Amino acid sequence: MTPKAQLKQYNKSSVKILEIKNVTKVYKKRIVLDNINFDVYEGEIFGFLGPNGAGKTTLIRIICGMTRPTNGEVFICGNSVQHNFEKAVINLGAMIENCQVYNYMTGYQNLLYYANLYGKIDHEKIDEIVEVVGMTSRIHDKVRTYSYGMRQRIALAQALLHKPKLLVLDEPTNGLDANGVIELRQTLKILASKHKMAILVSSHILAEMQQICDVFAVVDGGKVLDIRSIDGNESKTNKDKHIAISVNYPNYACKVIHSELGIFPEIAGSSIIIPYEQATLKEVIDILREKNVAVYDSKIETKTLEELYLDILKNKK
Amino acid sequence: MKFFRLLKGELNKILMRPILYVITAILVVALVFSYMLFNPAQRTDGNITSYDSCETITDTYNTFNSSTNRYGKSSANSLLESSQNLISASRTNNEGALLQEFQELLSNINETYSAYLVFDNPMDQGIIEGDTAPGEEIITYENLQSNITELRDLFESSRDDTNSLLLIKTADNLTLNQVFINTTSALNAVNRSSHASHVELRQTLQEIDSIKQLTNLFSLISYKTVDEEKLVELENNIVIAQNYMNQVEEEIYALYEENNLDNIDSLKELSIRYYLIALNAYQLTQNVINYSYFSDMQDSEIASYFGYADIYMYQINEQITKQTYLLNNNAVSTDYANVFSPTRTSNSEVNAFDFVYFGLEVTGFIILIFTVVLAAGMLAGEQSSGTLKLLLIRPYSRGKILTSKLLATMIFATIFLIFSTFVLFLIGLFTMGANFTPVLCIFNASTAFITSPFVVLLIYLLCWLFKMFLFVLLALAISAIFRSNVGAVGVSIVLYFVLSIFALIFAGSYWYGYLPFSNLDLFKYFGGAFVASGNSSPLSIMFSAPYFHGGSFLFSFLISLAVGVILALLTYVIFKKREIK
Repeated sequence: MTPKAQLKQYNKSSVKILEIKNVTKVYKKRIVLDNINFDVYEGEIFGFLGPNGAGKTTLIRIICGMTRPTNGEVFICGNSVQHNFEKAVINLGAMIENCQVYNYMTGYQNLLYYANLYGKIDHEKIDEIVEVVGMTSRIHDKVRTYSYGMRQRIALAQALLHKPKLLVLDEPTNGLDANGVIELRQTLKILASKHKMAILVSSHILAEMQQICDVFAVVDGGKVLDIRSIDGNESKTNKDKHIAISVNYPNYACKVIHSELGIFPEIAGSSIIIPYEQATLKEVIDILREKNVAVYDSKIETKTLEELYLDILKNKK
Repeated sequence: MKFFRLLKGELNKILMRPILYVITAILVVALVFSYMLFNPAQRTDGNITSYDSCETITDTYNTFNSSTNRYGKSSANSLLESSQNLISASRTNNEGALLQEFQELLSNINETYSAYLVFDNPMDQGIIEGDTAPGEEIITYENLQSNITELRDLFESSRDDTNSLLLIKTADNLTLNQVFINTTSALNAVNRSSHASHVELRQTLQEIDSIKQLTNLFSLISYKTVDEEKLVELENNIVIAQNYMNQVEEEIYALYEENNLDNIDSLKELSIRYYLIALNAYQLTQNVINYSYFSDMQDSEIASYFGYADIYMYQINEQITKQTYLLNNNAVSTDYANVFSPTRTSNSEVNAFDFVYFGLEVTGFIILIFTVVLAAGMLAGEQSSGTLKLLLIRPYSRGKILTSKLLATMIFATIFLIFSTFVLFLIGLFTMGANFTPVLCIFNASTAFITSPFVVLLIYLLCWLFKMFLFVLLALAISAIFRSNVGAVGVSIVLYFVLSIFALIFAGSYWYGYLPFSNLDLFKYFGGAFVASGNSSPLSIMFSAPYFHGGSFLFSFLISLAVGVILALLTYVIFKKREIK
């Protein structure tokens, strides 16, 4: 299935908040982004994964209007960022890497300043946001006294102030403690489900992304390699599943499978793992029993995000 | 999105920056400090002390009529006479008669000459050799040419003063003065009038080694003529002056008859006034004739004689306008305040306005620097600290963001300026009082108008703001191009100094006037080219006067505006295209 078709199958809402159309970026004869196309829908949390240098940050910059694409256009709620900047960006809230708020002001003064740029955001709303990001106790201290994690929270707060329809986050969990990470996850989920925000998150921390995202795209070499959804098992294809069998002698079991089926299972502790598309559960158990390998447990599992991710990257090669 | 919100945000940001309070503190210190530095020179045009010692009406009246009083009635009248002589001489010149005379003289080059030392200002009684009083002969040369070196040394030693050396031929009745002039104060010598009682030929010389150069010079000038129309007008001026002087004399006589001691100050004032009217008419006559001569010369010729052709031309023109105005309105220069020099006071008494101008000159640089620091911080500072990114994702175009920063900076610059003016005026008001005598302004060397000193102050502030605006644009342009906070401030400061020194060195050349920096100061077009009291130092001329032949307010304004527009466009385009990393 093409990435687009896959998504059509998945998405819960049909309102496109973010549309990336044929975005290409060439920088000094190097193709940084190559014909990127995807959409993010209302209420969806879209993960953006890829190795360093894949072009993720560049694409985020293009979405925010900080860089111009060589080709293509980005639309936010139907307005082109490149040609209708002011209208497009009013629906955008962003937390970009290495952005700073004003050190010499307090967190609250910073938020007041940004709120003022949009108008119609009263003190109550600001207080609400401050609570959401968990900064109530320190909000009236000068930003230069903040730790990195606190600055991250303020950065998130300024992105949320004007209740944007699209939230773009670049490494949002950076510098957050465990509690912070969990809170962020919860916040984002609420924003997406209750407030119907479309959220685009770029991160390296696959475990976290697995918990937060509904859909993810893998980017490498400037291209979108694949777009998959992280959902229940129902919509999963065989590709995303594997068999995990707990045995007494994993090494021996591997040898056996290899000689019988010609495939190399992985060993994880006392289990062997075989991709589901390569063999059925029944097949494998039969072979093992034949060879007197004790089978303690067997299950069909969905691949973790990490596994999917590595798969996709491998397939590209 | 409403632009006003953006602007308000920028203003708030500045208000919360700690550096603002540092700036304000330093500014206040500087303002107070300027009070300690204030040491104004007195205006000298009305500074006639002849009547200071007079205690009675009769005394004053007699001094007025006395022939030994350099500023009395007879001196005044001889000034008028000299004016008439100047006019006649020009007429004669028109007929080429003087040329003939001079050529005859040249043919008798071995005649005896006497050297006389003459003083411009009776106050400067400096003596070069022995105890020679002004007008007295000090050297006699049998043969001029063989003694030329000695003569030259004598001249060189007097060079630094504003004195002049007069060579007068004594061989026969023909008295023709040839004037050796200190090359940097040509006009001063040309204007020098009080002591000469002969018909004078106006010439300037660069070298005194060869009499032939004298000939060349003379032939150059003597072929220039003054329009008969102008000469007639000048004669009319003398009549006008004479009429007014008669009026004043009547009033003087009336006060004398009355002999009421209460009126002694008025009597003294009128006596001085009598002289000043004549002086004004004489200076006007000189200026018009000189201007006629010089305006026919090439800039390069004038520059080679005077060094600063353009400045002098504008200066003469300004003086002509002023003196014509005074003449036609029965006024003298002391009727009006003078605000156009930071070191001279208005109307001969130091008052708050003088202090304000002085204070602003001293602190102006500080305000300029701080405004530049603010501007640079707003653009380059935000770029380097990363806060600009969070501004660029807001629903405002980059152009609006730039404009809001520019406006916010200018608003603060205006506030600083007004604040400084206010503080200075208060200090001045409480320590020296304020004098609200109206000011005579000469706009563009051609329009004279009288206005309140507050209006002049306002004009001054506006000119300052204009200058600051351009520097802010410069700082923003550098910020946009180089993204360096320190760089923007540093370059602006260095540029300011470099260009100031540049002005000092190159002010004479006439391409200088086309450079942007020489056109930044618009205030000089309101009467700053020549201070009301007579002599002005080369330094103040250079900084105040327009720098080329035909320099006008409109020209300077347009050049500065063009520079501003170019800087603004540059900034806008670069900032718009920039890819933020």
